[in-house]
Amino acid sequence: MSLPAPAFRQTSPTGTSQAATGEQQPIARMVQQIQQHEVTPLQLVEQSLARAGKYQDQFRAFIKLTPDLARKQAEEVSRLLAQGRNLPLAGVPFAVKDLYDVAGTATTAGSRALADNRATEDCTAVRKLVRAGAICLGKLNMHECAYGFTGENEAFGNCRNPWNPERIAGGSSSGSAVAVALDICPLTLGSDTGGSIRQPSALCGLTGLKPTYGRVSRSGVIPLSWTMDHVGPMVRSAADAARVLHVLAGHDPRDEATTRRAVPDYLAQMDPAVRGRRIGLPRKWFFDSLTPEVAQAVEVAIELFREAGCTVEDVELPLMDEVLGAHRAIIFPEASSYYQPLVRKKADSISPGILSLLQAGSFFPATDYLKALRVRRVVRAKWAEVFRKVDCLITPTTPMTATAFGQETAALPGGDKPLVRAYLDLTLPFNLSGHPAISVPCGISADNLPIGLQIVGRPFEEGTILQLAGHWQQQTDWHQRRPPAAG
Amino acid sequence: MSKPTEQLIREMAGGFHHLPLTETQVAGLAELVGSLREEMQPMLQLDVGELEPATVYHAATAVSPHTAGQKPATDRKPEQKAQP
Repeated sequence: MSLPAPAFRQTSPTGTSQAATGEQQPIARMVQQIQQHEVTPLQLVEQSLARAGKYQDQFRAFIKLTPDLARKQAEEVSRLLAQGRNLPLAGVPFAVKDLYDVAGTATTAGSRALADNRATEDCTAVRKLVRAGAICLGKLNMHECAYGFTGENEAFGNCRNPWNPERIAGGSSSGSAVAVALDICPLTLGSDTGGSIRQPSALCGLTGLKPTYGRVSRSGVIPLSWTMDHVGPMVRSAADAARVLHVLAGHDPRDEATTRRAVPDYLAQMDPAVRGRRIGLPRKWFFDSLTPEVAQAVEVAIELFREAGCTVEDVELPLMDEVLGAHRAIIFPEASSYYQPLVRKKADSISPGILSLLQAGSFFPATDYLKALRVRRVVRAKWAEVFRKVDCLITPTTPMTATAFGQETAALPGGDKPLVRAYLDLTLPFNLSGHPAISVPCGISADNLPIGLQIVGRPFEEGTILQLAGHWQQQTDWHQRRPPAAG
Repeated sequence: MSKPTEQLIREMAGGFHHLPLTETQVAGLAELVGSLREEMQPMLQLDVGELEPATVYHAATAVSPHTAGQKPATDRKPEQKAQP
């Protein structure tokens, strides 16, 4: 297999001339168009709804569209703008994974069992976006109960990858990835307990940010595993992610895990000069078993950062086997605990495979769960030592591109691996630890599927990973590539 | 499949009146839980001394080396944001 030559931009390594163009930053571009009266919020909404309808049968991005709500919000945005209000996301259409409460609609978590779970108010994240001028188009498809990584869904149809409909979109935030990849809207929200924002972003050629645990409120978002759930944006570019994070971040008394730390101006932290940044490469575990194409694409990215003046050194993240075990020992009991009432009342409405996962945690000894919480402390302390030597880590997001539906193992160098291990081993460690991590597109395989690069930062230093991701996107155009279906 | 795990699940399931399970389901769960607990072994064997469990609060407020020395979070107003 051969990797297509990297598509380097013609701008200088520190150039910002195209920083605000539509292809680079669709959200910035839309806000600019609205402010300059080139387009109205309602026109943007109608365009988005038309695209959503056009692709729904084939790709199944949505569980429910909310056109009336979107039109009403568009009118409200126009009214506020006419009054001179400054709305940072004015007129930007967005959609949310169907874990997020939107008043007046059911929050299904992608399950028939929750078809009647009607929300009476917006969750905090949706409320913040709407207050900033964004417009909600509807609820997105997902892996049932966010308990999986393929985006297959018996109740609402399988999400298909826009780059190749025979391949999975990834998950569990599958519809969130598909909607942005098809340019239905420039922003979606996903959730990430083991990689569910970053993995579908990687497989569909997007930028997906999992902020630090505690940075963004999850109030009104159905949990899977309270101590490892994160919510965050899925967009085209790091700059757009920075814009959205600034709106989403902040303390929320309704989510006791949220921090009271000040929210920085993430865009201002995206200084294009990355010289002197210290990058760590955790070769062991994260680079052990990659397809040649993924390995090559990631090495090209590392070399670009080196040439930009970053120092790059190999590091070892200790206790990886223990991390995997702790993740298992936490996610299963927490998910079983949360879903126990639903399993009791509506087991017949839950898909058999998901039902087994939801039941399994009931059989874990409490001592194992508590041991995992104690191990998490050890892990965080040991990793903090690594992060004293480097500013961030770079790894592949996944070891291979999107696989076919029904595939259960991945053929990787060193032997076949169960798909769950192949797809999540490189992302789930940072759910256990809570470190912020972003996935950005870094290549296209010979069979025309996107490859993702993961950048991981210190807790609450999203600015650093956004800066590095932004630098990469100043130099390359992988994040601007569109799947054939999005024509 | 681990026989002790299957037996354990069978016994536990018998007491879980909220979780009626068929024989097939018990066997499937035993296999799943057995394989998960195998993956957990390195974690279970790690010596953590007398450390207490990390709570949600600990995870969200742990101070990174770079932010050490900042004003305590409790001294700040909630929702304080830099202006872009």
